[in-house]
Amino acid sequence: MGSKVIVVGGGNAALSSAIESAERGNAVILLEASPLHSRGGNSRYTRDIRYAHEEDEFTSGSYPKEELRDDLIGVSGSFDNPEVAELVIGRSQEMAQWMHEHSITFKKEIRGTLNLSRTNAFFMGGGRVLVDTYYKLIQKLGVRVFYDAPASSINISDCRVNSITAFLDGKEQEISADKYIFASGGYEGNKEWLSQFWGEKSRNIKVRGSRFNTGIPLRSLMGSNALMCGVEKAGHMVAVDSRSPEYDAGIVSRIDAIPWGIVVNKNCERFYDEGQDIWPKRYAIWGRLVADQEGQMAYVIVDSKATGKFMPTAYPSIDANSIEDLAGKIGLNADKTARLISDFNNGITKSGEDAFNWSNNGLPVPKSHWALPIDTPPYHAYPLSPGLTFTYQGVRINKTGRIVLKDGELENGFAAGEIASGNVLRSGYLAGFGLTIGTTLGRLAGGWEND
Amino acid sequence: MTDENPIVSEAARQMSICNACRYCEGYCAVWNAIEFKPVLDSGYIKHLANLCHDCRDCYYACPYNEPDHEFKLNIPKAMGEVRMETYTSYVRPKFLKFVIEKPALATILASSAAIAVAMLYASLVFGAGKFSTLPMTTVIPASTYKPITMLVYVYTIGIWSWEGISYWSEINGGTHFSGSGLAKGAYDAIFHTNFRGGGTGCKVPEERNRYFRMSAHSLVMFGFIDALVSISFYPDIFGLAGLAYLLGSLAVSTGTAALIYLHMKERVGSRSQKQSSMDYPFTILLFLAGITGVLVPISTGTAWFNWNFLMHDALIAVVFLLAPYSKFVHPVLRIISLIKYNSDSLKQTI
Repeated sequence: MGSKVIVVGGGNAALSSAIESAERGNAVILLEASPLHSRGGNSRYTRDIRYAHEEDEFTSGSYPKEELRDDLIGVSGSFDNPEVAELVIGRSQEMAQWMHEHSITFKKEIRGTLNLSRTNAFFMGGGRVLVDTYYKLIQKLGVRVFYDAPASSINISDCRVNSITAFLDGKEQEISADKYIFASGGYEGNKEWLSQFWGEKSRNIKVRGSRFNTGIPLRSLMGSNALMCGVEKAGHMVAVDSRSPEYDAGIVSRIDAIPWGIVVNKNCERFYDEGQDIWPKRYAIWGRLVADQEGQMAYVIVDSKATGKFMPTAYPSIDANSIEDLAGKIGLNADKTARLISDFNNGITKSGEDAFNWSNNGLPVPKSHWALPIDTPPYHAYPLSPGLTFTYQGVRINKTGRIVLKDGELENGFAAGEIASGNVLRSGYLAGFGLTIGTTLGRLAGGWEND
Repeated sequence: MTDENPIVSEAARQMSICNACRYCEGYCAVWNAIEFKPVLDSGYIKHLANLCHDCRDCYYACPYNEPDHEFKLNIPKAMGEVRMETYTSYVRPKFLKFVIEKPALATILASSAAIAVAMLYASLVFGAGKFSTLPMTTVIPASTYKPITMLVYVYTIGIWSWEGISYWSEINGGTHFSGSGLAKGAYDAIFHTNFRGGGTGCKVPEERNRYFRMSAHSLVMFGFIDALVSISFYPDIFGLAGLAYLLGSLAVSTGTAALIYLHMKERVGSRSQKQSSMDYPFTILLFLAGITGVLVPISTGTAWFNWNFLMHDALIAVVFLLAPYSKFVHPVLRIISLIKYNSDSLKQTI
């Protein structure tokens, strides 16, 4: 007969574990910290999965396990927990089919992100549809869902979880079960925690995902001697529009214009090679670079030639017909900005027609590729802030999904999703792999290990 | 983004966020069309609004919806409001704008007037008592019926074209009408391509994926066309043409009833009040026209046949007279946008 299972969290990993567990006849309770309208954590902002596969109906070609492993090592350097990493890579192969069988519809063709069409499968509607579909499903399976139900502490002794304390129906209550699955995400939504690493700067960091990812269960597990995985301080951070909300802007606040222009800080200084060719990492380094500038602010400036070359932005560009006017509008010193840009324009070497090979290496901060002169009005600027996507540090698990402590393993405590992503990705990121970690580890924790 | 109209600029604000997201790609033509333009001007927003078939899949996929998210998106509502704006601003001649702005009043007045005229005609020309006993062709001789209907069609198509050309000249943005764009646009309209949620169905009613709305709209559209063709055989409307007319009318009444049911079920506020106030009168008018059409063959041989037939004709006349000044302009703007979209798509793939 089934046992009683408590799932802490409400995103893809939590839902995958709840589905797997409920389908095996267990009585499952799911505790989502957020209210119903923003359920799903960071999974709300996803749209695709990266998984090893032979040729299939969801992608444009095959993506062998070995290639996926190489790609992961390429961005992360090495695996903190090779055993679990291998398990995720291997089991990713069954994932698209499993999702398909659980009412997720994949897109037939994709237009915007062709470079991912082979490795990744895109589902219709994106993360909110994924999450909503799974919530409908678990309710059909008899899972009891509580909203506004953050867990506040975990009571662990003798390698067992005895109970957890959580808010249920507005009251703090202690509840217990036979099995506990922690899929409550990272701590990127917890500004106080972030300030331990970032100090005052954390105030100016935009959290791209859910404000409910406060990492309280993670902290509680850390306090109970759980072993850690993933780089401690690091988080995945990109450059986002400064005008975006402090939380929950998802994908739309990111600014892709950087390679096509120059980036200056408040003192009208360039501080990094905007044309560095390190795709896909290029996207991810700029968050940290901007975070190191005064006020955690910078501006990317392009001219009219760049329009249409990068993804459209959620907020309109700040426009002017002269560099001086543009500088005035964004609060920079007009003369300094004009001088900077004219120095930049004057030293450009154009080798051939492809702007990829245009550079300006004579400057203190060179621009090594795509050095297009900024000389054709109207000029456009976007204000930049650091935008934190997720944090890497989480608990170590074993290949059954159980949480590993300094002095043993939690017999009945499992972790899945971002809270355990450090086992697979210690740093860096591969598009679409967050859901892969969540789905495979979620299903593992839900009882897949018994197969 | 420089449109002074607050409805259009609000839609542009919302759709710019969409263009940075693009998760809805695949649901309908809007999400392909938005990708053709890095910056959305007001003409293009109007075009997108008329490509939108109001299935609301994007609303149920959006993590940025009002009132809970700071972005405060409500795309079906924003698109609906711009659509209303285009319906009104392309009214020709312009001084008749007031008709479309008061849809309930216009429909009620026009229908009452038309029915009153018909009844007066029956009573004064034939005498109310005698009227019901006369043969149909005496009441409405084919020699009168045909020129009148022709005149009505010419009027409707004429004004529609005038409005359509005004719309096209603002939104075309340099696109030329291409033959295959036209063919594909017509195909999309006929086969309801954009009612299918890219294969997942529309999320109305009640957030379930299904083809309810597509079926309802198809019934109305094909029923209407079928009825239109079969009535052209007047006065020979009792054989095969009569059967076709009955089926057409039945389809129109069921389809409109289903659409009204859908409107009433909608509770989440992804439509504006203004939109509903334009949809309801027209849908109800079509429903009544459909029902009286169904009654034509049913009432054959009874004393009220003539009365019903006359009332039915009056309602159909109102449908056509009001067509350029009611919800019924939507096929014109929609088809133009479908043609533009398909012409643009062809350019994109070259």
